[in-house]
Amino acid sequence: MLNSNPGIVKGRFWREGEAFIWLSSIGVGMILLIIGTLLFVIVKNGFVAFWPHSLALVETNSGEYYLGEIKQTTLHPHTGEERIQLKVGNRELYSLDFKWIQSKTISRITYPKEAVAIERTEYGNFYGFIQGYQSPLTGAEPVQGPNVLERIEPSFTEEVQVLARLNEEIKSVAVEMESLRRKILKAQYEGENHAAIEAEQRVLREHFDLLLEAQGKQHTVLSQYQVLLRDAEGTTKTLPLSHVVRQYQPNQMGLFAKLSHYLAHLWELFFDEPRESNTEGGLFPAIIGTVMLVLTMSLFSFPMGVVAAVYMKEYASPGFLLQTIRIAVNNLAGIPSIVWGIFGLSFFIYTIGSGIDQIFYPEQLPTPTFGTGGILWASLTLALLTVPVVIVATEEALGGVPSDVRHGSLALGATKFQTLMKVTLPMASPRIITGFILAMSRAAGEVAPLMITGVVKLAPALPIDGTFPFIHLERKFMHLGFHIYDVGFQSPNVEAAKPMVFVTTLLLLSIVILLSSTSIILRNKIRKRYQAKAF
Amino acid sequence: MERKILERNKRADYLAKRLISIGGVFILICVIGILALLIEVTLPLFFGSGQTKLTRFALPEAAGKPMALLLDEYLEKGLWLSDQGHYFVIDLVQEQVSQSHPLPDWVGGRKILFVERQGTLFSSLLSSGDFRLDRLALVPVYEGDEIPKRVVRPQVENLLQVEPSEFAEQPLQVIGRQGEDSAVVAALLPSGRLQILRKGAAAQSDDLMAMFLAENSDEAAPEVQGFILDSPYPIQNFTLSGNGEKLYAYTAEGRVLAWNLGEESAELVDEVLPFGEPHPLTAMALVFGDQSLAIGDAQGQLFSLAGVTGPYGNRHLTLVHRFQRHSSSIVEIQTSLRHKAILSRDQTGRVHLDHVTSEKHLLEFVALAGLKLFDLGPRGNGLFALDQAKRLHLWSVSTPHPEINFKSLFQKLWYEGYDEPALVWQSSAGADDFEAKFSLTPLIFGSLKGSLYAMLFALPLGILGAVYTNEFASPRFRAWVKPTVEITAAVPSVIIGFIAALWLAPLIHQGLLTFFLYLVLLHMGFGLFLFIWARLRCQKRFQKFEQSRELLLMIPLAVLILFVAMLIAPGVEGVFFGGDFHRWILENLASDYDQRNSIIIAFALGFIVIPFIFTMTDDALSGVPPSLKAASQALGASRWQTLWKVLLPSASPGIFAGVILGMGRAIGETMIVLMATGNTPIIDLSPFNGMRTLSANIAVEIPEAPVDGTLYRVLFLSAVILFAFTFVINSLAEIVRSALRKRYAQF
Repeated sequence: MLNSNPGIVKGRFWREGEAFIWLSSIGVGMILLIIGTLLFVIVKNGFVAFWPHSLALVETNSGEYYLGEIKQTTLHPHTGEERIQLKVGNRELYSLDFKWIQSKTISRITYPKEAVAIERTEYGNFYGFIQGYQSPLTGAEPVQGPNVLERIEPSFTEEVQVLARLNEEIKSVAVEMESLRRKILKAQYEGENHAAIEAEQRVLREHFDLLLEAQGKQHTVLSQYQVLLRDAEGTTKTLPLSHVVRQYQPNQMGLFAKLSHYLAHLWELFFDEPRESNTEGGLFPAIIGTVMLVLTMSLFSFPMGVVAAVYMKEYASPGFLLQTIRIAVNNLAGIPSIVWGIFGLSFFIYTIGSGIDQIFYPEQLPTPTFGTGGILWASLTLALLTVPVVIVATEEALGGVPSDVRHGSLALGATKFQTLMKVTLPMASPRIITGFILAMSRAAGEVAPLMITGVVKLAPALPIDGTFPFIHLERKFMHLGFHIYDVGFQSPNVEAAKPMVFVTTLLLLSIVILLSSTSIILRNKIRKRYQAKAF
Repeated sequence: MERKILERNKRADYLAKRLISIGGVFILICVIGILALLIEVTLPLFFGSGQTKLTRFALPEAAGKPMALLLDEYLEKGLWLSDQGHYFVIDLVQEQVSQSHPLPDWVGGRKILFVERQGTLFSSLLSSGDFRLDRLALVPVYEGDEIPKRVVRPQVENLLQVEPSEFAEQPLQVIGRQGEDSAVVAALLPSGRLQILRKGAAAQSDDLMAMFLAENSDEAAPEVQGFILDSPYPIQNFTLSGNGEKLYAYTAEGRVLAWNLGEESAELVDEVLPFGEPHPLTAMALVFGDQSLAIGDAQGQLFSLAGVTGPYGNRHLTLVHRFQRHSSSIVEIQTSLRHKAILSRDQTGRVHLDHVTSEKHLLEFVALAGLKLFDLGPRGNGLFALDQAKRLHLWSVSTPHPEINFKSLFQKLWYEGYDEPALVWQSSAGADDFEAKFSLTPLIFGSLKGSLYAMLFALPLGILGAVYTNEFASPRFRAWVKPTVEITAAVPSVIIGFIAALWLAPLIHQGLLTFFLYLVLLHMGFGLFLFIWARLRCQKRFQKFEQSRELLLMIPLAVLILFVAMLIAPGVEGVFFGGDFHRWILENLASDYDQRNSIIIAFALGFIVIPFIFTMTDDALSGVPPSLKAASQALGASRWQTLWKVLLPSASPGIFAGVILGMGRAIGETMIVLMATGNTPIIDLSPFNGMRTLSANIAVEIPEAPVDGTLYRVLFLSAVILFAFTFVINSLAEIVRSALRKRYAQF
């Protein structure tokens, strides 16, 4: 450090270059400001997304009423007039979720206590007022009253559970039918007799049809439970209760109620399926996909990287070959991820995948099994991408082990391999693990190569589930990073989807920062430990 | 120790050594393999064209002289038309020729003098002066109930017949075309004039069998409408567009004329001497799409003309492409029905296959006796030809990527419909005869532009920041700033792209002027601050800021200036920019403002690059031997002088390595540019436009690219280019760094 402070004399400020030191501090100041802004934007928007906002009833001078969340108050970029942005929801009624209202046209803003926000399975949120309920219990006419919902809720829940059980059964029968279909295909391909399987399939199909019929009936039953709604303008609308995900009256919620609402949302985020083409609901499949991807990647990447590094550091004799390998590894680290992606597409999917299909699943062709994007190919591609990280970390770790220790072990009669397994690697392991974590954090944030090797907007099934063989590496998968790209850029209503994207962003950022800061802190700690040791 | 255990240990050691060595070398093989695989996919782009001789056999002695040949798409059957009005089907697999069949409505005793063909349409002028227009095709039919078997059958249909009396003079050459509702017949008269006849719709029979059997149908004689085209010059040769609406002709001295044919008259739309001087021409044909005209001359040169808007706004046929020269005069040009390729035959019987737009010379077909007639099959996958010695030849032709060569990928190319050669990336469009344009130059430009803007932003911040952190900041500050910046490097690019595109881009769009004002005010403000500080620092209570506490003043100052900029922006906009900065840009800088532009990219990509430059600069500065620093200070240099004169020069190779590694990262970055640029492949350095980069282009196009198609391979080529970029950059950085290590070693 150069903190020696020469006597401060007027006039030396410029000559001695103190001014430039101030200038250089701008650099780091700006970097920190930008990082801070980025974090602030993500954290603020991410955390606020699920917080129940008050519903404002805006009355304009011309007698129009709007109910919604006030998103922002800004100046119009051209006219310079103040205006507010209102999220009015009710997409099926107004076709737009957001409405700009000029402040000068507003005569009154109130926050009616009975205003209700309803999260639905389609068309986004509904903001309005509840007029009453309709159910088989209460008769054909809508009934109003404070405790109607409590009265009909038990029977409604029961019907919903019946439907859930039916759906469960349909799903399992569908899985069975699919496996039968594959068996028949295989039998056909191999020219075997498959009359028995076909008979089984017929029985199953009859059962399936019955289930479907029951499901339809149950839907009809459920559709009799309805809630009667009215929007700010007075337009009425009935909504089947089964479409209601959650309803709340934010204007009369206390802090505790809001907090529990928030927590319920968080629960949904982590453990539920997405709704409305990913713009609402949970991230469960994307989280599972990301975790599976990173774990499968680790399975390939870690051993490969460690073996290569051990070879370079412990076994290879210095020379042209080692030099070439070193250059190759350095170059591997610099190759753009999209190049890895396109390589994965042509090598893993079109060469290896198609080969596997031809040998093991010829009866399925031309429908590809492994010959199309899937989690296995995506993780192999990522493994190649992260191998250099592991190699470099392992090499450094092995280099950090003092050679005296090695010599000591060898002098005691251990073979090279024993020394490696019993002495060198254990001593180097903390720093190797640091490299692993770094590789995982790199893999978790990478999206571009996934887009061509098997990530999808909405996967029909998880890559891990209860049907044999439990882990389905050929399946397509969802991913947090791709979720951000897809929902933020490909969804029809980007503005309405933004909160969800911010939540995903916050989640992914937390995972990555957690991983990489762990590895960096760990690394710094270990560095100190080695410095302290003297051999 | 027991001998057995020793043996086992030794074995394990030996085995491990082998395995680990194999593993290590595997990495090397991986890198080479990846590059090899990428290159292997791209190679067919350049070396894919080929021809294989499938068969050659003598045409059996048969009645008449061959006038035309036809090949089917499976290279199974051929057909030849004799001047006696008969056609023969040839089984190319069995090498057999079938019985002869007369053309429908054929009247004996006549001979065909001249045949012109366009696709399956055959215009024949007979010795009697009659003209007939026939459609001859070889069509695959699937027969058999159990397992359908493909059989190729001829389909022959007479579309039109014209009596000799309908022509003003005995014509030399007649061409017919089937338009949408009428047929057009153009005849070249001995006087060098043209006669145009328009015939009412000839009944198009839908029933394949009816066509096949070629039954006579009692049609009412179509009404004749004709006129004489008064050409200013005697015509030597001519051709008609596929819909019969345009007529192109050339004269003896090589003047090319074009007419739009109307109902009763024709309008001369163009008259050019393509070479500016008389230049005898010998053959002409319209290229697929009917927009370009291929022309050959007596010296064996082959050209194409296309309509180009000149400097005065008028459209003229202009010489656009030149192709590989023949050794002798060109006698015939045929065009492919599938892509913009032309087949040309010279006097010695050599046939060239060239692609029009790329001017790529694809293939050359030669036979001992010289080829006389040829046909390139409907799929362009075979060449069926007859030589002077009446031998039939069949080549299978493979031209998978005719439009790709070095020129079409990297240099300006004159596409049809363009007024000048251009660099265009446009891989797909709606029209049928659309020609994909695969110029990689705009994409390479985009990649370089993006990283250039990113460096503009990241370079000063990264280096200044690292210099301050390493040399002037307190150790405590340094201990948390360095990891923070390192963790920033781990922020997924998809997050930065999202924030840049959906948060920053609208913000800067709204406050564009504020942004520029801030840039200006920041510099002015800091300058002013330093002047004031030069006075203030003499006082004791301010001195503590100069001991690693500069940031305590600088960050609030930066934020304050931002507020000032926001405050005065509306006023400045009103006074200097007429109240609308965006319109001012449009009018004064002649540049459109895209919301996702290079400013956004500078921030977003720069954010990715900063940690690279920061960390590498920091490492390089830390690596400078402390003895250098101490010596400099001992000689009385101030801390900035030491940095500027001693540390930075010593560390500069390391900093340079960091900068180019950061550049490599910026070039390869995909998600950010995919999200935060408009992805428009334009060549424009303006900061208010976006770009399309090589990497984003791969991500955008690969899902739609059919495997092994031209687009697929071109995308692989761009991956190879990216690979090469990073290879060069990494190797350069490595060389610089090892040189640096050597230099430090002497201290």
